[in-house]
Amino acid sequence: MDFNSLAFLVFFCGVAALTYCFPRKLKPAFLLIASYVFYLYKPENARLVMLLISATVITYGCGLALDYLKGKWARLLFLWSSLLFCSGILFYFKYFNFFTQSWHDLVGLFGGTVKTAELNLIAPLGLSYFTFQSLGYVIDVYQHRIKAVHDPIKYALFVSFFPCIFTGPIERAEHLIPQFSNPHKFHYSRMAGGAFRMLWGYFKKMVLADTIGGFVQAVYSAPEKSLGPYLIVASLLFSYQIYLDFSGCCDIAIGGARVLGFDLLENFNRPFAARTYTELWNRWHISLTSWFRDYIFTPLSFFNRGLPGRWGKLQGWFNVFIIFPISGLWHGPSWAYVIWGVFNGLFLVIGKATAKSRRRRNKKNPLYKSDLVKGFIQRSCVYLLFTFCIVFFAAALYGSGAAEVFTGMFSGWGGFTLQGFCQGLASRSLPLSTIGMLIIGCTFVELVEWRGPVYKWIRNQCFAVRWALYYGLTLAILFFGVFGKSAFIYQNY
Amino acid sequence: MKKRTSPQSVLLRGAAIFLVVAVKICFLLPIPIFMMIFNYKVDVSGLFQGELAPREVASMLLDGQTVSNYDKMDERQVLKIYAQNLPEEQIPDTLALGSSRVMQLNSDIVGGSFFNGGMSGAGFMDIANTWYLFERANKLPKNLIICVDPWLFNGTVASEINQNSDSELFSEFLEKALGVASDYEEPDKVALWKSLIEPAYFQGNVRYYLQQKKTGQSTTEDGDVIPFQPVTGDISELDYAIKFPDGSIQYPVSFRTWTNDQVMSEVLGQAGTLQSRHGFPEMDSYWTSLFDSFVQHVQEKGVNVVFLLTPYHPFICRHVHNNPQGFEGFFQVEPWLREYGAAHNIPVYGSYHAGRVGIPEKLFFDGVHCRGEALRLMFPGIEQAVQGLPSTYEAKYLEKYGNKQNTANALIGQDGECVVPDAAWFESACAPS
Repeated sequence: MDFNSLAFLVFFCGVAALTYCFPRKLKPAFLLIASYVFYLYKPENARLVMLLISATVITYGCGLALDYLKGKWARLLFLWSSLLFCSGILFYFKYFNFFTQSWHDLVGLFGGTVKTAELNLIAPLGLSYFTFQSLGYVIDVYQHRIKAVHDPIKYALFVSFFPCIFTGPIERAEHLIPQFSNPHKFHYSRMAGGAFRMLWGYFKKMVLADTIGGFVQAVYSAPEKSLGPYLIVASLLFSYQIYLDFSGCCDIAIGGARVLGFDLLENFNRPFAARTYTELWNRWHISLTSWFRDYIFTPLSFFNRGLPGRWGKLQGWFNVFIIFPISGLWHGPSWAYVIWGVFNGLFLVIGKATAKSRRRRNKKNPLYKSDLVKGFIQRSCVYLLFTFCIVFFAAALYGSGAAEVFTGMFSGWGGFTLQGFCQGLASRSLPLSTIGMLIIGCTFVELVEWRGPVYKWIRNQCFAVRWALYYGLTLAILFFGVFGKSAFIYQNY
Repeated sequence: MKKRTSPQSVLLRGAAIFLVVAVKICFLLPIPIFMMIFNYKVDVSGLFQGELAPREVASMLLDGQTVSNYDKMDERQVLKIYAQNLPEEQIPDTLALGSSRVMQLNSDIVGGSFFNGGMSGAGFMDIANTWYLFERANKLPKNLIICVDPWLFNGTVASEINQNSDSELFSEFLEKALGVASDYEEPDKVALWKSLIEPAYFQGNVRYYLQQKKTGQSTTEDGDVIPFQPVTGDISELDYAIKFPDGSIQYPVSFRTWTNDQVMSEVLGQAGTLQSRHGFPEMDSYWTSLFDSFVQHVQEKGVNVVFLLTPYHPFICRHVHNNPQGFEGFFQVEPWLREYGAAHNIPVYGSYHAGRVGIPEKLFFDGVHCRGEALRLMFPGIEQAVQGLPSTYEAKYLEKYGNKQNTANALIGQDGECVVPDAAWFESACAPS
């Protein structure tokens, strides 16, 4: 069931209405059933539901064992069992073909031949999310950060909770599971705030992201047919599109959970307001970044201990860097995603390495005397660096070559006219009227989100403004939304 | 000590909350309601009100306007929408069904309120379907004139004749009206009504509506201009076919004014195979039985049925009479119809044999289509027809010869000559009223 389908809205309204009819003790069981109905709605998921069930059962069992056992090796055995199982299914369904093909290509590069078996595998939706979520739980129990969950229903609900199973945020057991025992009572203001956040998410996704997406897809699906200016604009827009798409999806998930009486982790915090690359990654896909930080970066940091100054620093930078290629691979089995990660890691490390010297030089920069100009320049640089990396991402998503896109950016500048350019945009689903609508829409989004969480912001408005916004956003979706054409980008990962 | 709340107060509080939420949600209802009304009214894909172009035609006909470019119309769709949108007060007393051979029959000839539901090349399926459209909409006429063409009973070419008919509607007719088992499946009404709240459909309707407003032109969903316009003023010289509000048509002036040579040239082309109806060894039992069921069904509804047999050009009659091979079934139809009519109390007017009903060559547009004047000769008007009174020609013939045999019970093909009992009367009968 896609979030942007009528079926989901009907399903969600039904679940939201019924969930408050159940006594608090029965709520998790009801929501678990609802989550599995949501998951099984798509026939392709129904065939692979055993994966979800087995990941739940095994990590639940390992969690209990880790809680009871005191012996180091026995605990390690259960930890690694669950790690291997979750990573195993993730590897098998998502990366097996990718790695065998890469191995085949590598051997071929040196003139050798190797027989590789390509399996006809379809990864179930949400695989990367529920495996990471359950892995995080087991590691937390192993590290005594949390107690193992004894109630199987609550744990199964934690792994499969429907607002976040397909697109995140990747939840933490310590944050979500206690809420299942003690969900919020019905509160109109809370529900209305959640519902508005969902509406906000739909607006961002269907009106803004999908409208930009029409243009980006037209350019990226055949980059050889587009001249440099279009490729540059498409790349710049794709950065914002993916933000709107993913954050919109998270708004729906978080808002939906809020309506049901639960708080999910925030996943975005106006990433393009960041002035440094490090800050950007602290604001972008926060649940994944923090997952990598807690479960990969932090364990790796143990290796830094005792290393002398420069080597320790180098090791620290390496730890920062290595997260990103892994993160790239998490997004999809393609080298383009890995390269996207490599560049992000490099920019981040370079940023960290040069931070001090840049700060020194910035003091002497006359342009930086005005904070407004300084902020603009810094944010533009961050955006451009992010866009440079996102080209690999977009190329992987739309099946084109990043090299082709980059070389194409330098073509077609001879005889460039603004009028011709505008005509070209219009022929690629981006007429001036749409551009105007996008500018107004995106500015509105930035201004509102700048004021804080939208569900709080809306509740602070007076009745007339609130209802004007409900109507305005609904009508905007109705008139300008793109329906039935695209799923959420992050649903694929 | 914590105060316990009673279950009643919990329930009451829950109900109050539910009420508050429901009321607040109702504040948003104008949006889906507006969307539904807009989707239904504009309906660019014709899901609820039929396709745009036929809808325009049906709307003009219902407004009493004559419509241009009949030959470009999707007649089946027009009739479907016409029947669907026909107001109670406009339900015709008399409905005529048949092929293009009945389409010169108009309210002047029939009398009273009348609608001609004929369509080009109609086979049995089209006739039954058109009837069913009125029946389904509960808009039954008092009288039904069925222009019975011989090919309705020709099983050899049935699939070819009925190829453009709405087979789903026919299956529904068989199953629901006649009670005959068919492959009819109830359409998915939920999916249809879901379109009312389908935002993508709403956007398509908005785009279409704005475009209409901007250009001021009626267009189809694809943006093609709808070629049907109301016709006013002098229509006698129009060189395109028009459809009158009573459903009858007028051919283009160039066709109506064909010289005798032009008509004969067309007749010669049509004579060999009776306009591709060659290969009619006998009346098909399946279609004959269906026809019987249909007529009985109509009668059971309390509707008076009248058969009208429109003639073929005298030359064709003569040619078929002289070369009967492959037309054996054709010769069976008229006697069977007369017998059937007598048995079921159904008046039969006209004849496939032009001479038998006094229609001379000059009253034909071509080999198979006679003029309105010819129909006026052989059909007395619905009031008289229901009482079984003779047609103008029959009356004159009987007056002159006193022998009804030739007109009422003759076998087609026995006489190729046209009988004109009274030239002076004939001239006056042919004169426009």
